[in-house]
Amino acid sequence: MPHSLLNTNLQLLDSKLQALLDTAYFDQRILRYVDSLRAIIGKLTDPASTLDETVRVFVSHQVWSATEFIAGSAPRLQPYEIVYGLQCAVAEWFAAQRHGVKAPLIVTSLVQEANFYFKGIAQGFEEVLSNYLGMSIEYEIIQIKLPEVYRRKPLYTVALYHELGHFMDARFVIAQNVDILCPNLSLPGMSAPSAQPGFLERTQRLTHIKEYFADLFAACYCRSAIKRFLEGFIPTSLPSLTHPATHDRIQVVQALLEGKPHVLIDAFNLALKARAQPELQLRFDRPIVKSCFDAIRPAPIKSDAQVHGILDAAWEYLDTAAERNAEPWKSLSDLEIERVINDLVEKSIRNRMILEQWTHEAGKP
Amino acid sequence: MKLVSRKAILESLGSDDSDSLFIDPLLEPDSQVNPIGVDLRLGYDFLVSIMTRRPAIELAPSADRDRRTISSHFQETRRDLGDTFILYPNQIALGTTLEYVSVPKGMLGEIVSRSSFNRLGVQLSTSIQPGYRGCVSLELFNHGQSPIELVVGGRIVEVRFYEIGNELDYIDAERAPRKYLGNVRPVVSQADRDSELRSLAEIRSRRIEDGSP
Repeated sequence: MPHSLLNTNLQLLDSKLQALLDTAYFDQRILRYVDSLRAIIGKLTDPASTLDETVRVFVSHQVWSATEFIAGSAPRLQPYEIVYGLQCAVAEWFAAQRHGVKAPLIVTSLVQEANFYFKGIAQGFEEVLSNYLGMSIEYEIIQIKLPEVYRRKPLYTVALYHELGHFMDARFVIAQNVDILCPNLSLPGMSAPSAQPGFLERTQRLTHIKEYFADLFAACYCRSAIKRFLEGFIPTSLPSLTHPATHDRIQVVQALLEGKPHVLIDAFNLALKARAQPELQLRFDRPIVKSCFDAIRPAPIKSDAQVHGILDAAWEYLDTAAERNAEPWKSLSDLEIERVINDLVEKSIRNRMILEQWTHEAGKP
Repeated sequence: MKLVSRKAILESLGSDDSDSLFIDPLLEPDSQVNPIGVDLRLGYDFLVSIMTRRPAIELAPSADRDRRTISSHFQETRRDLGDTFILYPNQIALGTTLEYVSVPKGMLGEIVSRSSFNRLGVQLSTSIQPGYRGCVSLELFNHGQSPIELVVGGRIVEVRFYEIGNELDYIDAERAPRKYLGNVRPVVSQADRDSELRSLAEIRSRRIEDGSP
């Protein structure tokens, strides 16, 4: 029997997953997800299995991908505070779902490049698992990548809300619905849709709609913070096959924030309504950070909405702190100022998490 | 210096003044604020000392490409509230308090390990300077022979506050830059950034070049 690289890969992945079981994850659901992946590998490598090779390869690629993100979600690697904010946002959207929907599970991976990614689950994965392996995974995994250098910089990871927007889009098929429901919709920076668009035009149109939705989703939670981040991270990006120009993205976000009518926002709301999802609306509450940050103290966060809102409030504070010719900031370098403010945001969110756990325990009979 | 009483601590904690005492989160104020100080809890971030290929932690400035930073001698790890952290005998682990602390400019904080931990061989003693803001660094060392499981969020040290009679500020632009301002996680020693080290290195280098004894 010839050597099977696929079997070797699966054994290697199983060893990696077994090692990950020794990790003290904060979220115990990750360990249960690892158990499920190992059970899948067990079925794929069963000598008595008659599974088609195509199915085995397809499933193994998904297992490989999940392994990467689970490894990246170890406590010392994961940006725990910002993921907490994402979990609050996800809970709102999944609350609108009917009974029986899988619970979402956010996992992150760190990259050594100036990019953020959402990696979706391969289409048909659940069906293949169910139909060919007779298995199911308890959780719906949300896979997001971020630059490692931003791991402890909550303000610079507001783009994770944008990536979460990509998950919501894929999960509730928003952009595709917009494309179907509004075929003549004009997109900023693109010419009017052709009567018979070619592959490239269709692809560019759909990817741009997806990006606009992800931006708007992020703005619902982070207000201007996502705008400030785009302006700083990709200030002069021109339109490409995959992304609209930064200028156009900011204009659309600005329209939502100012409550101005915009055809794209209307189209998204139409598609969301068709999916029984809530409309795009501002879902944050800005805590008062000035008096706290002026004294170099974390700010009290009193609600989930403020977990999101502190990101915007702190970005605004950061933008003006260096300009203030007053203590404490005037004696600190720009680098120290951003370090202290990012740390204050992290500690503000973490204190909220601590209090939540503590009061939950104290409330037990 | 005068020890600050429980009543004065509670008054300062309840004040809106930006130069008041600030401890957050203070999970159990009634029991944490005792007659002579405040019990503080163990935080969730740690830097654990590890063996490296270098023979020593080097503080003297050097152009040696093999020279390692102090942080390379430590490994980062995180825990959540209620998790345990094992402190091994003869190992240094840097942690912080769970609480973020602001000390008024007219107060000095003296940190001592709680008696219960002294009896286990975990002793530490450090101070918080007037005007300091941040989670307080805890240099944990197990003097005993058995590993000890510490619990994140458990009370581990006591801080006593003293009125110093005049005002000093940790953030003072006229003085040397403050290395640990606003820290929310443990930071390795920055002893290699002490200004006198460069001068001392130059003195040594000149002596070697001159061939003087």
